Amino acid sequence: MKTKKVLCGILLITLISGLIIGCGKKDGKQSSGDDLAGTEITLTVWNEPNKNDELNMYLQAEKATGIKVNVNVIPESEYSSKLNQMVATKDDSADILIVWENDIRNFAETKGIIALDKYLENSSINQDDFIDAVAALTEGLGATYGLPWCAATEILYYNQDMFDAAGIPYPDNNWSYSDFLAAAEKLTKYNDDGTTAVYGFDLPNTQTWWAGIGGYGDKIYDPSTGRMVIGDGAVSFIEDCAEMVKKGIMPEPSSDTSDKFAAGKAAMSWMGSWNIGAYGDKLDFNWDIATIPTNKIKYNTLHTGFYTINANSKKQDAAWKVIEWLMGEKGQEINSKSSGNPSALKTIADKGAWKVESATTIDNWDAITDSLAAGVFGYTCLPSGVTNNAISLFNTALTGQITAREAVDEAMQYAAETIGYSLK
Amino acid sequence: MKEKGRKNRHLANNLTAYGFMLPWFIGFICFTAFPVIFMFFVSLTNRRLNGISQFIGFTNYKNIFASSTFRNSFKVTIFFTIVMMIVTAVWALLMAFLLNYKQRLNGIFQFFYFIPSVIPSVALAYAFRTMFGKDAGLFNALLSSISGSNVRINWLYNERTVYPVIFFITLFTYNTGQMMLIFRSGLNDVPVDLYEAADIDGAGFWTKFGRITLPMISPVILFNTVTGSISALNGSFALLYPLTGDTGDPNKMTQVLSLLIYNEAFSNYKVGYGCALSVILFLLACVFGIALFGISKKYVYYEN
Repeated sequence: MKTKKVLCGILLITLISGLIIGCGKKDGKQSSGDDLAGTEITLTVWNEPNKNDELNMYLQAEKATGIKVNVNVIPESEYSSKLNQMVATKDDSADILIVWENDIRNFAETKGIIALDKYLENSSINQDDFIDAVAALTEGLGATYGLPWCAATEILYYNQDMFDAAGIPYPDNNWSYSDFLAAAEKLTKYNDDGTTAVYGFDLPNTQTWWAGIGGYGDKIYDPSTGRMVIGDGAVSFIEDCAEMVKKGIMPEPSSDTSDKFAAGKAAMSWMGSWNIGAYGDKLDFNWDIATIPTNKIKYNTLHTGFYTINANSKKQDAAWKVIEWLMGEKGQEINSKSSGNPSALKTIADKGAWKVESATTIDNWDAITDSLAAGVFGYTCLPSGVTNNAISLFNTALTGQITAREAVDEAMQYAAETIGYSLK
Repeated sequence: MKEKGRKNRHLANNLTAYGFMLPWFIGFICFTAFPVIFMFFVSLTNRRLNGISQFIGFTNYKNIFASSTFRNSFKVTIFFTIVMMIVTAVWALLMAFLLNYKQRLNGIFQFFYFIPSVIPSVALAYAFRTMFGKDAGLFNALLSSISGSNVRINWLYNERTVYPVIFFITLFTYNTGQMMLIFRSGLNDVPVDLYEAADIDGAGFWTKFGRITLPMISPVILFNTVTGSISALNGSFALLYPLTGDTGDPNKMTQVLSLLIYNEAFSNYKVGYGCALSVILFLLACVFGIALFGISKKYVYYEN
């Protein structure tokens, strides 16, 4: 009888202890350090991780932290709208959201993402080391809600073989806009029937249209009002492009989807710095880069994404540990090597891991640092519907169906209607 | 007692019938009625895609009717719907007519004609977008080899060619293929003795077509035009977005309402405004349906 009582007592104590231990651990919330090993988190991003395991920063983060990182790739065209829907529905399927420039303020204001200050207090990440534009973008939020995963810029790509053949000196980072226009004309080659065989300059893409307009002095985006600000600069740049289209120097906007620069059908092109990694040693000709030619001012748009933590995540501590590693020297180095984009942390960027090794023909790596110094967060802070509508109108003007002034006025009108302000 | 038993049986029968209909009712309420009511409710708010929402009454509607973008889109939608409905119905009827002739390899011909119709619209549109490219497009290459000159027509960015190209592409969509099959079955149901009687009377092809075929298949024509117009109103997005929707769209010539709704809700994050546009599209589809049924009273022939 006594033995039974003792056994009962032991069982009761075990049960109560188990209950206390079981209830003591909060669902999914980890404390710190080694407790987090083995936790599984999900991160959303718009491009596939690098196929090379050494350059796959998420895989390397997993190895370094012991936290399993699932990568949820959402197509770029749907990325921002999907994230907005996740925030609206308080979705907790992703712990780390890489948020674009135009969303971070909204997400912070709607409490869709958390302030990172409590984590940053005990972290080695030096926020004073970020490039100035980053601080300006998140100014006024009252806290730090995201950390920039890199800083990409827009640059001029040129075909060295074509410059050599035409006897034109290579562009440098002080190239003027008028030199650029003259070179584009000289580099154009025509067929016997007058059609163009090789264009001097490829049509600006949805990103670099704004570099041309900004170079003419238009502000493009006013952070204090959230408005789109284009005018005479945009008109002038569209007119320049229309003239180049008319002369066959630049291709007309069309449904062709081929990359004319990579195909050797255009001598110069303005594109994002991330194309360096994509081109590497894959092009059949020698090529190099320079900053976008300087018109009235030196202008290009900065591009980034911010590592943020979903406010509905149940694994915020683990998410932070992964972010901290990704923002550290090793994480930033792998990101730069993989994408060709410099770190937004100046001291890490200075080490030059972003100089893609396979791009052996590039000499002018200073083009990247010079572009970063001149870069601003511009059109990327506007809704994509507004900027796409504007480019559609600019393209219409290039085909001569409306004038440059009409295109700019209509784009401004639509921006005002959409964002909600009056032009009067 | 007998009366009570009859009533009970009647009630049981009714309940059984309603029981069988219940799944449909639940589906209708959850997936049709509720979304329509919810859409109207959201249209009265300034709801953003990130969930911020405030009741603003009819402000969205006021802004819509003041917007030149909407007015243009409304005109384009009406034009696009009417022309697409006519083009696809006429083409489908013609194909059905040709397929109805008894000849060898008819099945193979029908199979090959119907194949593009089962390809998803988005994939089909991307394929045609490449084919109608200016510098590297298949059609320009074909025309160049035929003409011996370097043809570079900018099919999808030129205001004179964009509509013919788009209406040409609609001939290969699922909607047209489906219409063709329905027309075929309608043509097969026309009594042969009517044609035989007409032959005896010496009627020619057009007389038989106008006096026998068209009246006899008029219910099928009504069905196809109603479904075709609603499909053009709602489904044109899947075709136009890949063709011109991103940064193409010469002079806003292809910005139909469904495309505008997508842009407002998912590119500009204005869900409330997008819902108000959807309510207008819904009403427009109702008007099209009612108008077609109104016309049908005069022109559709029902044997019974």
